[in-house]
Amino acid sequence: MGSVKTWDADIIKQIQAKANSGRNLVSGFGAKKPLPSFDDLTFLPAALSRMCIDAHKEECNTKTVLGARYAKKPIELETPILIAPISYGAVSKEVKMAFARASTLAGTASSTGEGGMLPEERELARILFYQCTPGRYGFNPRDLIRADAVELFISQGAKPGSGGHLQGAKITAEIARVRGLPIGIDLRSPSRHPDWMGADDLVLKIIELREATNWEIPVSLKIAAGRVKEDIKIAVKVGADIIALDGMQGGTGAGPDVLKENVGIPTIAALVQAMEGLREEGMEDAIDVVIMGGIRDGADVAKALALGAKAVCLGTASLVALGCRGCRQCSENKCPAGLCTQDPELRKRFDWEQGAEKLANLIYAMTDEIRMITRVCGKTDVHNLEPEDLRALSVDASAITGIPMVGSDLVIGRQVK
Amino acid sequence: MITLDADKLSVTEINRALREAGEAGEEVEVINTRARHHLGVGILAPVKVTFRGSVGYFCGGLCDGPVINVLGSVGWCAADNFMSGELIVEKNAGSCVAPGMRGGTLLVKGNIGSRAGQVMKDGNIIVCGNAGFMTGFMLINGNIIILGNAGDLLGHYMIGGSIFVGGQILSLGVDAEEAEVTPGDKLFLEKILDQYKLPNPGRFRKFVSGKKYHHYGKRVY
Repeated sequence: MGSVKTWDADIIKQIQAKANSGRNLVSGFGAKKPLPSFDDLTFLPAALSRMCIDAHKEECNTKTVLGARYAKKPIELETPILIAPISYGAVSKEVKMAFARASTLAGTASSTGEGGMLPEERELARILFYQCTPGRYGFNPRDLIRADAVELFISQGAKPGSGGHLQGAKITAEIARVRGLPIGIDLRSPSRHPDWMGADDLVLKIIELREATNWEIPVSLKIAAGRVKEDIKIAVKVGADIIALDGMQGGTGAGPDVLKENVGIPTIAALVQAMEGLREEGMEDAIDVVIMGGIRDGADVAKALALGAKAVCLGTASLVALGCRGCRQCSENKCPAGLCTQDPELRKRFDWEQGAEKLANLIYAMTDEIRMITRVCGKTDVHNLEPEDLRALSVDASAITGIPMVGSDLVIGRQVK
Repeated sequence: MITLDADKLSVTEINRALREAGEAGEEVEVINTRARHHLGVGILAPVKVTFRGSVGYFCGGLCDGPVINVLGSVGWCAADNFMSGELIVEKNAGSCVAPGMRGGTLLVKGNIGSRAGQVMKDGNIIVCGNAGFMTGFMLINGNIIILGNAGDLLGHYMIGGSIFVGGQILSLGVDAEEAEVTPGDKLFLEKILDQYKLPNPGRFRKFVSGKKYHHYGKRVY
């Protein structure tokens, strides 16, 4: 039956499941396969060529401003870590409330995700992004004017190019009411927005959003990582303030396994391509890049900032802070932690106020980790981290990032002069 | 009646004035519209607005409550995400009108382009002339009433709602199927056509979702 690796237990299980159901497999979480990641980079500490900054005592700025390109009221955060957009529907109302409260406690922003704006999350979040998705589920101009930023969702790292999925078990009467859907259908959101067919139309769509919000709040575009270099040039051209890039390690509440494992590019590669695209156009400072997809700790964030990101989003890590155990049953409405479910009994297992404290703690801890790394690199502002502070630990990472291999000046794939 | 001259004001200034008029309960007319985009965007009050001429893209977008009359044609995406109120167009409308509409009525007295009423959640679209390709794509709820003919792929992947056609259709989309026009439907059509003093073609065909794609079924080809 071939090698054990080719036909491992997981593959056998997948084949059996497809043979039984006659359809592609949908599950929660992100890609399982190992991918190039921020782990393949390391920071160079200060010593004599650069003076150290005391890692615990001296000031180190983490304040982050997003969306200052055109918006009259850019977003001002205490940390470069935001809470990722996750829809009401994929997760329960209590999780949305925990995200909102945690974002306020940690001095950052949360996002509505796809399923409309809950009154509770608006009240609890000091800074709230409002997502406008192709299905426009729950989208309401009265909520738009209460938002602090609006984000046009183009695609998602876990399932690039595909619309959203929400299985019928999670479309309860309440979710159906909020989204304007029939109860219990298996939802396939559209992949394309209903009111723009290309970049030229997108210019007009963005102006419409700005007109409706008096040109005050930032407009973000959320894009799955693919042809990032080209996409980001278009994002700049169409007039976005922020581009939120979602890499292949991004999670989902429900996504086809075949897309999660085989479509898109890793987060680290996406960020590098984005910055290269901006450099080619001389527009590095024109637009704020927010990166997401597999961000787990302060080191990941620091490396992302060094490669050019202005901020990051935490999705899966946020859920883990609330109690997610990684069982990947997110799409089935059976979340044992009571998070990714609409089942009233399972939801009782989650204490949202305690969850908010834990998530805020995680953001504080990660922000402190970024600060420590920044100081040992001899800097006092996390936004001053740069590629020169990094070295690659693997041939792959060097080739992807253009950063020299450790212990040498060699950049894999670049001509040696 | 307040008169705003679009030759002398920016679109942003006009929209701001429309919102202020809504709060003050004033009626407004806008002259010299010259097919400008984004006129009448973001109005959240029941203000009565008349655009004396054609307007461009996104007219009446992201609105809740206004009664807007356009004495000409409108460009693409009119009545985007319309929540309530009326948008009445005396001539033709471009493509993708009433995307994500959640309530109110869009009445187009001429023809409309393709993809009207995509992911529409509620409300009514009435077209006195013909409707283009893929009208009612992913229609979720609400009514699309076409007094003339409809193009290809009518109701493509519609999830719910009703499409009524007085004339001919070129083809149905995936999972759209013909249904019986009930006495309740007839009453609804008579009432709404009478409300806007529109001719009743006498015989309508009704199309609804076949609901074959409401669940991730097996063997989808």
